[in-house]
Amino acid sequence: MKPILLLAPLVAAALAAPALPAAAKFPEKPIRLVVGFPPAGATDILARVVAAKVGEMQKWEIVVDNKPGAAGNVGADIVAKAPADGHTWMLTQIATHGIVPSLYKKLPFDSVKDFAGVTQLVGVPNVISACKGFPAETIADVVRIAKEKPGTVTFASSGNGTSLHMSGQLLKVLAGIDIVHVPYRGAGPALNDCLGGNISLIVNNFPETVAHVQAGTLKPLAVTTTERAPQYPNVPTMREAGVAGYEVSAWFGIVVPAKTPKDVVEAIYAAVRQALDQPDVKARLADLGGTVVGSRPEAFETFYKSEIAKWKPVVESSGAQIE
Amino acid sequence: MDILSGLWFGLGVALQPTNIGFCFIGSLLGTLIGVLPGVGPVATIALLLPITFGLPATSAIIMLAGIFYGAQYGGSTTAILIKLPGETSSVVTTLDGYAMAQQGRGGAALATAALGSFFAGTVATLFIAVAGPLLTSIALSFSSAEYFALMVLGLIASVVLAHGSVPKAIAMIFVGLAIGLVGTDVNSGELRYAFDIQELSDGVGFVPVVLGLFGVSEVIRNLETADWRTARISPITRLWLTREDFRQAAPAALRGTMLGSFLGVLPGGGAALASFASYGLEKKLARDPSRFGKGAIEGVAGPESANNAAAQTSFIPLLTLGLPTNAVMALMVGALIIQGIQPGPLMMERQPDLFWGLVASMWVGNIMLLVINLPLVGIWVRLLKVPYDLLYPAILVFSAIGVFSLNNSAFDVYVTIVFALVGYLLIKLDCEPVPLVLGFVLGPLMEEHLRRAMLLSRGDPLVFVNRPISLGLLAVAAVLLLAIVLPAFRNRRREMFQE
Repeated sequence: MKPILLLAPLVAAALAAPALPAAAKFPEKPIRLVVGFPPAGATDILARVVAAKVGEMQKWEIVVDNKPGAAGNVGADIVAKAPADGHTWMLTQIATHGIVPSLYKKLPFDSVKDFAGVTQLVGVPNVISACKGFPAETIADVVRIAKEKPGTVTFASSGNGTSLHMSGQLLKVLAGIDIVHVPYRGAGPALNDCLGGNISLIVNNFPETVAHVQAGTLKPLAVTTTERAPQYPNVPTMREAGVAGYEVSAWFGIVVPAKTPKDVVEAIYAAVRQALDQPDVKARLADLGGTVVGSRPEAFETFYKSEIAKWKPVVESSGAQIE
Repeated sequence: MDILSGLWFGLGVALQPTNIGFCFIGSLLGTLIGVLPGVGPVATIALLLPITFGLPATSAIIMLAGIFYGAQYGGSTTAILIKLPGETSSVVTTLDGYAMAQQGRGGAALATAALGSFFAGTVATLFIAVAGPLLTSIALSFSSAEYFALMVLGLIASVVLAHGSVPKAIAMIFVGLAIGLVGTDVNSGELRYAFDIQELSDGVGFVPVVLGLFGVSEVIRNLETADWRTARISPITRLWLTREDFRQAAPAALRGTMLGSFLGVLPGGGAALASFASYGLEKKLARDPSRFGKGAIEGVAGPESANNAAAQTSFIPLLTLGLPTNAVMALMVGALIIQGIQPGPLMMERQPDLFWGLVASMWVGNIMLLVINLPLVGIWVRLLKVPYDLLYPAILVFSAIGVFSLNNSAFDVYVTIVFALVGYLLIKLDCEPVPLVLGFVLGPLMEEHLRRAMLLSRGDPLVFVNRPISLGLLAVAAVLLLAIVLPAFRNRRREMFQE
């Protein structure tokens, strides 16, 4: 065969190209939803539920990309530097856009300047519970015991600088008591020491507590949000329990790189909002303790800026700042 | 329901065709990723999580569990044949397993690993069914003080693992401790020795270090020999065990199973110790300890049984309390939550089909793994007949792919290269890498537990002696230390008297 004929398919493709429809609408390629935490954690599960629903309804291909490390900072850095074409989203939470800016003195990204808000997905309560052998039935008991014997009441969290740590720290600051923070690598080891009676209190994400509360191994003293959790109708909120002005909601939301065009942000918002309105998604999120929010992009940005401002004095008072 | 009826019920669940199918898929997949260097059960389970959305909960968990303990079977294959350990648990197997392979007994080593793992898996499954709650209460009585004492015992026992000079082994432990310091401090969140490299914020990765230190450095060493192009790794003489092999391996497997079953229950570092502890125990109990490191079959049978037993019993805290003992169990918790099941103390009552079905399927899975792995011994062993100049590029490429796939990060590959050079240096200096790995694994855990124990006791150092379990472990450690040091004294005194 003449070698020149080998070029024939190439010529045919080149001639055919203009005939192909030009892809002008968003999205043009698979969307990457970056999760800064390992798989099977609360952030990851939420991301997968939302991605699955949005993908199903809009026929978009959304891939959850776990980039764990440095409490979500590795993932945040990647998204901050990603192209702003709407194909890279990040599942952010109270850590990256609330606590982290005050926690680290040096960050490779700026939580406010490098991102544009899309929507707040849910707010999830944290739960403060008494561990085995600790003689407290209410938060008032905890405050009383802590004032009688300062420095003896310990509270466990799944890590330094997490919203769980800060929930305990806020209690310390608002109630003026001296309780000792004991950080663990993850919720599993913290629960282990709690069930073994070595810790006084434990602060958990809501989903982690459900099975233990049902079995009676954890005694929930209060939820950290301003509304009671429907699954725990008898557990008071921290405000009801006597700590005035206390509010912590472990919230999750979606952000995109800062320079993403406004119409693309609107399109993403509309799609996610539609998914959040579906009853099955609401039910799944409620199982995880989440109250659906679905705020508009501007409202979400205002919200997380206020969160960053709110957590600054608490983080500084905890002395948890990292160089 | 009581144990016998529970097991019967569980068998009924596990032997349903779909569940048998998923068990098989999980075991096969687990074996394959165990063989592939770098890729491990954590990465695979994370990848497969979305698929479990659509599956019934019991089938999904059976498959994921199969991947986990299947990887323990497969991981020993490369450790024995090419000194490439893929998991913490197979590091110790490289010692005597690879030595056996070099003597042409690779087939026997692989068969021992498979049989030992099967025995351990069966016994451990029985433990879960019978002694689950008891073992859980033991796990709960371990707090940071006890873990610290256990780690101290582990480190001192690791000196026993050393074949050569004891001072060099101690030096290696300290180097390992130093490398283990890199990363995020749990109490303050500060980044230590990471030099602003974000990838080091969770510490130097275990897999890159181990692959470089053992596998790749061994490749470098082999390339030094004059006839490396045409050399084969080992002439194979036997594929099965002799009666003598059985006689030596069986008690080791039994002891390894007991040790591994107990250590696997302890969350936070128990299972990592299992294979090291078993190796140390076998060496101490052997009539002729100098055989170890040169192809003693107990050095394969004990650790392999221990790590498989630990892999099975690490499910216990998850099933009885909803507490994950390691990263894989944490993924299982996530998989269950996605299914809408809350793992916790009531799981045995609320989801008996899941609980008993999983326990029964572990036994089914172990049988399947034995059936899969034994015939494969012949195939793997034939792979070694490939001339080395074709084999070693394949080893390097697969290692690089495996390491890269962990975090999609080229940084991990660089770490492997660095540690390959370190490993080569250690070979030249006649230092052993195993104590280094032990220091690297146990060091950070020891530090975390020491500081937390002090935090919980409000600065009182007597907490380690006031708590009975911790006191007991430290006492054993002290005795062990004396046992190591005294013979040296006795020898010196004898020398002095003779002069």
